[in-house]
Amino acid sequence: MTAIERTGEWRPGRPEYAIVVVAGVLTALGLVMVYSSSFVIGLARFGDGQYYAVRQAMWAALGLVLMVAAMRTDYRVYRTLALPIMGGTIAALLAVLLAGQEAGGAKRWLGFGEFSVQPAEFAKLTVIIYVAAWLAAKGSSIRSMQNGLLPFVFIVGGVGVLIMMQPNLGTTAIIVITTVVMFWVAGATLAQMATLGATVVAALAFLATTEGYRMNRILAFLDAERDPLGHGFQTLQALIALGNGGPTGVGLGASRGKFFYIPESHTDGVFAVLGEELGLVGTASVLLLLLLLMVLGYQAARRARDQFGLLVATGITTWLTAQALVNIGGIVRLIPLTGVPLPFLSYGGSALAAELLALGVLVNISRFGRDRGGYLDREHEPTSRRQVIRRRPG
Amino acid sequence: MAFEPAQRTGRVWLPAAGFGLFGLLVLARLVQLQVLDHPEFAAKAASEMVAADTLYARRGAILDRNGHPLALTVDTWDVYVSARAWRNESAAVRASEALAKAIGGDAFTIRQRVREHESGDILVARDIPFEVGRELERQGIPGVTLLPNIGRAHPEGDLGASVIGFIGADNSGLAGIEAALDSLLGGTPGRAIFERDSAGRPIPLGRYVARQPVPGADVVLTIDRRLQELAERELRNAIEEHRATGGALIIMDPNTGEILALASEPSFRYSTLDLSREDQLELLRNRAVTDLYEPGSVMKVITAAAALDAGVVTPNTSYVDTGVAWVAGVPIRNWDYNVYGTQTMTGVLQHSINTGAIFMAERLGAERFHQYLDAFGFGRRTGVELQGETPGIFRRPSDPDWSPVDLATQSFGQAISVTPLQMAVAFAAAINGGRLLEPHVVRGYVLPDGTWRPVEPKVIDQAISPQTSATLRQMLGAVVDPGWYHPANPRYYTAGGKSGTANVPVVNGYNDRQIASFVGFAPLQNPRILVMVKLDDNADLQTGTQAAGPVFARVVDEALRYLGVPPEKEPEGGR
Repeated sequence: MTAIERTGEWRPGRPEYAIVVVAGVLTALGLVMVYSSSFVIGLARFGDGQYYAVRQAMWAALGLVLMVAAMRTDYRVYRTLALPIMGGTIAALLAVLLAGQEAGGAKRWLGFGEFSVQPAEFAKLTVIIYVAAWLAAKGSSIRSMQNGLLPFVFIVGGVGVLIMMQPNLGTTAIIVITTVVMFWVAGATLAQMATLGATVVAALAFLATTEGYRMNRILAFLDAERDPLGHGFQTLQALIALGNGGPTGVGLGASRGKFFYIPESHTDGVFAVLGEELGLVGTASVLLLLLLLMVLGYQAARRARDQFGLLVATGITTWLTAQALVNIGGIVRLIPLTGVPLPFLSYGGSALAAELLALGVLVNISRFGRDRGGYLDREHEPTSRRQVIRRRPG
Repeated sequence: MAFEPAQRTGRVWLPAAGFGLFGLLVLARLVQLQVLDHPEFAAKAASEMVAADTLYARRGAILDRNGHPLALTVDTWDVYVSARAWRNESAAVRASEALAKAIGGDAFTIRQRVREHESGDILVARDIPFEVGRELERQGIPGVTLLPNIGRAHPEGDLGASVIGFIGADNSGLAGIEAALDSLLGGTPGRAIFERDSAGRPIPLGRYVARQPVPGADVVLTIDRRLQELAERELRNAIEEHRATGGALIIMDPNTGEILALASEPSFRYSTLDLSREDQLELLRNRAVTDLYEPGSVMKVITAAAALDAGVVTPNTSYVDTGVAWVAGVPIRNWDYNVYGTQTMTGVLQHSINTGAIFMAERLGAERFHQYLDAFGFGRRTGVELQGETPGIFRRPSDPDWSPVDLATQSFGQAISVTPLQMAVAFAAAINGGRLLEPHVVRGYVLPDGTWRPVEPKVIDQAISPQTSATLRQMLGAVVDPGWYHPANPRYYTAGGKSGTANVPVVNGYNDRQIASFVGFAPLQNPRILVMVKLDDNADLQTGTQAAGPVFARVVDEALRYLGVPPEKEPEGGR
């Protein structure tokens, strides 16, 4: 990676530090919640209440290093490397299928001894980069069916199938939503969007009906009370935990739901534990922080100087927002549970590191934004240098 | 590097608006769940996650009359194995072998038991010793958990088992004093409310005690462990020597009703107790209070006491024995078919002459004879603290099928069923000044706060006058010490007593099996102990005097010496 230097051709401006602050707050809260929600499970599974918290903290530290590095790396580097990055991603996904570690019936991890990674988590970012590069290169020709929609469906569908084979519907869904939004922002026609929408609905219907447990989740969403101790258990227990928390919560660390009532309380269910311990104050704060992050992200996208930056920023923002809302929406039972982690808050090292890295890329894009005093070439240099200097004295 | 300027697109705000709307929907939903429906959910969470647990109270100890412990509560452990943790075969083999080494038993059997279950914690051993459990805990064998329990330790081994009884797996008494005084010994269990996880396990720190358990009281028995040991040993030896099927040996204080020793055979032993065996259930009852027998000639003591007290005879009243008494056309003969000629009432007891007993009972009349039987407590439970007491049964003059023959046979102890303890208590009343006492095996209680609550002696009835009682003592002394050798005569102490040899009643008569017994007291003038010896179905067919008499004599000699009573006689040589 090349550190950003000021050259005659381009110059980075002020980073959108608000993004860093929001990410920092969410990550810190996430560490606390992971500790609180995983204590019991850690004790039960490993005889160590801090098992998960310690690992999450290590991943958070790694993620912060990646984030700072990305903030300081010219995002256009990824564009030139888009093809090898995508190749590496596909190789990693194939490796998971061939030699991955299994857990809970799914092959998702690549292990290196004690250390294991979920390539699918990083795939979200690399697919965004690749798709952004591809869309930017196509320019307005994506508006044609042949040159635009078909290859797009092929690319996204290919990655989606690889991840579905693990199987990992949640991650696939997030990737599909994200790339479709990118396709839209890149200038897709309404007809293309309608076709895409129909395809996605058909695929979802197919997937839901071919796997028994997915159908059960949908049934549990529709009528959890019919089977409160079986398929409806997870849904109902999450609701009970949230409701038990009330306006101000039962107190940090005092959740009862995490004692195996909420399955996966430290990963997908962490929002329910947070809601029980910190109440509406906690859940609303997290929700608003995530929406604030979304606004900051889309703003950075809109102010990006080039098409690649616009699309990468859009992709990253859409990914994090969609994943957060799919997770929370499932917990509060507005949509079926899909089993995606809550960004920054759920336990999961690969996910956290990938998310922080992505935010670093986003912040870097913001540095070249129209309001940031940076520029990509002389053409876009602010008309008055003084104006810039006045804005940032010293 | 190619540079395409970004389209100035507002399209990003469409997904932003969509997500924003969904976010608001989520927020509204959160308000609904966490504010509006909060009370409902809180109640649901509370009902689902709270459970109550019983806190076992510490069970009181059972002590002998001098405070020596006979049954104590000790901390033990129950060993559970998580079936899930042992699902891996090689791990299960390693763990089960380590476990078997620590607690004994066979590793394979333990594995088998665990493997029968899919999941959950399987009980593999109950009440293992405290130290063994601590060692197991230190080893930390995978899948093995220990839960504290309490067990009963018996420092004196099997001594007094038939009186003490035992407790079951749920720590409640199942036999003996453990069962009879279960609530007192057991105390009041406490109640802990704990919050639990979805599998019902308590959540750490989420527990509070709603009611502290109140420990049980210690029970101090009237039993003296040395006399109990003596009684059990003598009874065992006698049963063996005379090839009997069982028996009873009771030592009691005739002045207070306190039972100093109570041996009963057959009985269970702690060392071989196995409740899963049908035949062992037979051993649980204390036969000295639950089983009825016909006392035989011992009953003549009561008949004589009644006749003397009513003034219808004196010790020197004489009558002529012809070897047979005709009652309502039925000939009743003496047990030995002897003809004794002219005899005094003392002689009737000495020779145990049936016709003499009939003579006394007929002088009394059926009504008065039965008033005395009531006064001596026959047909009623004695009120001892042991369970399963039977009141006894006999025909009364008011019964429709009563016949004068019944009066005649009851006067020498047939056609009347009593328990060994009942007979002992009635006999005690006859020689202690006439007071019918409530017998006790419990001397008192030590409450959890240390207070001593004695069980006071209780006089139920004045059966006969003290003068009659004194007279009777002399007559019974003449039975044991007639001036010639008598097997029941102790070597070092004066004594009085009466033997009984009763046939075992069966339907329509009697068979050739018998019960040999001897009841007596010592010393003669100031009785300290009353001893009842009873042997069931002794195959050598020796009489009560021959079989039970020597046991009585030995017990008197040893017990009185132990109780510090100075010897009264120089031992006669040659015995």
